Amino acid sequence: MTISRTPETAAELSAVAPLSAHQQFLFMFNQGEEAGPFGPHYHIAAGWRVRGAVDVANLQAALDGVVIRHEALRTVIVRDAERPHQRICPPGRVRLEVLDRPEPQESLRDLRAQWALNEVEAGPFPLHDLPLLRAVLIRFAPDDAVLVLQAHHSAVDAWSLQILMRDVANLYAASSDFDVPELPEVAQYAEFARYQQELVAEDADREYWKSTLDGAQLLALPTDWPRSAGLPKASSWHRFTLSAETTTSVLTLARQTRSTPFIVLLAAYSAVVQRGYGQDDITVPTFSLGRGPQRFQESVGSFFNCLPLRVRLAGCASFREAILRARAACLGAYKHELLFGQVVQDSPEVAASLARDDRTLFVFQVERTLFSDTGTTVGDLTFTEIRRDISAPVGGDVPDGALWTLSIMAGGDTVGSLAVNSNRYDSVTAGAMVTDFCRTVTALVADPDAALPGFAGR
Amino acid sequence: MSGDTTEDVAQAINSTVEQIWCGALGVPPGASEQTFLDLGGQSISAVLIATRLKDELGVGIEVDDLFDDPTLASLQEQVRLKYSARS
Repeated sequence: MTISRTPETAAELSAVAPLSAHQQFLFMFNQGEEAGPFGPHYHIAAGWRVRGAVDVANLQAALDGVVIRHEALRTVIVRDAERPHQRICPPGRVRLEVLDRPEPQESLRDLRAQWALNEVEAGPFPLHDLPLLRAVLIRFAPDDAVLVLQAHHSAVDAWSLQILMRDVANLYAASSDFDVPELPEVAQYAEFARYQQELVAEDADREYWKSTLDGAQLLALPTDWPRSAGLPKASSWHRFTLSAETTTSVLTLARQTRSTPFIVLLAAYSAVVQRGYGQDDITVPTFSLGRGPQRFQESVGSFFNCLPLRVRLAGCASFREAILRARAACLGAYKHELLFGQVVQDSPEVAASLARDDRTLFVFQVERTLFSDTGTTVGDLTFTEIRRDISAPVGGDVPDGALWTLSIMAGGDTVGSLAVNSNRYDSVTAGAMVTDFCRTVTALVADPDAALPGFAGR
Repeated sequence: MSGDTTEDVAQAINSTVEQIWCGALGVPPGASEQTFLDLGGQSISAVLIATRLKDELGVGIEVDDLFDDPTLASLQEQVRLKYSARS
């Protein structure tokens, strides 16, 4: 992604923008083009079952259309200039691979869909060719296929990928002459970067974080091997499900406590850490959408911000009480959200745990999707989110940390993943963490008023 | 809104609040008995609603207020009260 010369002409200057805060943050982990956030493994993908006969030419046009629409897909980060910046390039054709893999057994198609998605994620993203989006269409039958969208994660975050699928579906339907609403006006990522330059952190917000994070450290847990052992690194994805019964309990508890499912699950995860590691004071980093005002909600780019959520469980008698404490932490965080860089600048101690050789950061997030697992019809195609419960030894890169991701399905249960790096954990440890998490969460929500496992009557 | 009757102002406020609510929660207008969390309210929707109410009506509704889980009708009432308190 490096262009070796700086912009010279006026026309070139207009296609240039400053780095966003997120890009500057990635820049700090720059390991060139072979590894790290600008390397070939830092990508993100999602897949959908598509029912209906797909016209490949129209699909190609729809994909090319979103590259025209969203500049982030054709923006390079100029790293070796005096002042690193973004450069927006003209639109180009999306690499669309069409694979015919007939599968007469309907019941096997779900499996094959997941394998296809895992296969895409195990490979490198051909980074040097713009645009930063590619697609794979795997056809099981003339009217049953899987569409995988994959993007470089430095340019596209999870919510952006959802927006892209919605936009592709819309453009496809429009090109087939269906009456679909026109896509809304969209603000470009470069505009967001410029908007961020004008932002000034409010004193009240800075004070909130300074006092809330006083004495806190981001959650980092012991690893099998230290970073300094220099073992080869690949990110493995361990997938699991929480039952419909447990999911219903989560949703019920959320309503009873006037919380979101994320708050309930955050409380559960905090209790898991308390029980497993004896920590009472847990500052869980999560990823927020990070998009700021309304006008960037439909934009494509990499916006997500790291938000520290300090949950203190000392003296916490029950899981229900833990939910209330997690709720307070979350509401305060949402109200006072600041860029992670600012928070760390004001409270440098909070990031001390990241420097430890014998521990790694654990991030916890709950994701939402735009097209659900129960199917959304646009024009003459029906898109269904692929339910992912098959693990992968190699998937998208997670730079230096571990990542829990949960997703509540419209169909009623919850799928999740724990992504860890092979240079820090072996798969037995990762599997044990997943089992422990599932068992503990299931028990907690089943009996939220029982004594918390870590509570010792203090 | 000078020159309008109190009723006109109330109507205009209700309408703006409904627009903001529906926009943030991604729901069509008309369901004023369902609560914020009923409608899948999240951190992002709370922040968006609070920000837009501040920007468009100069009214201070907090994220906490939305997590108190109001209906649209009760939020409209809160906003009307705060709006008249400021003028």
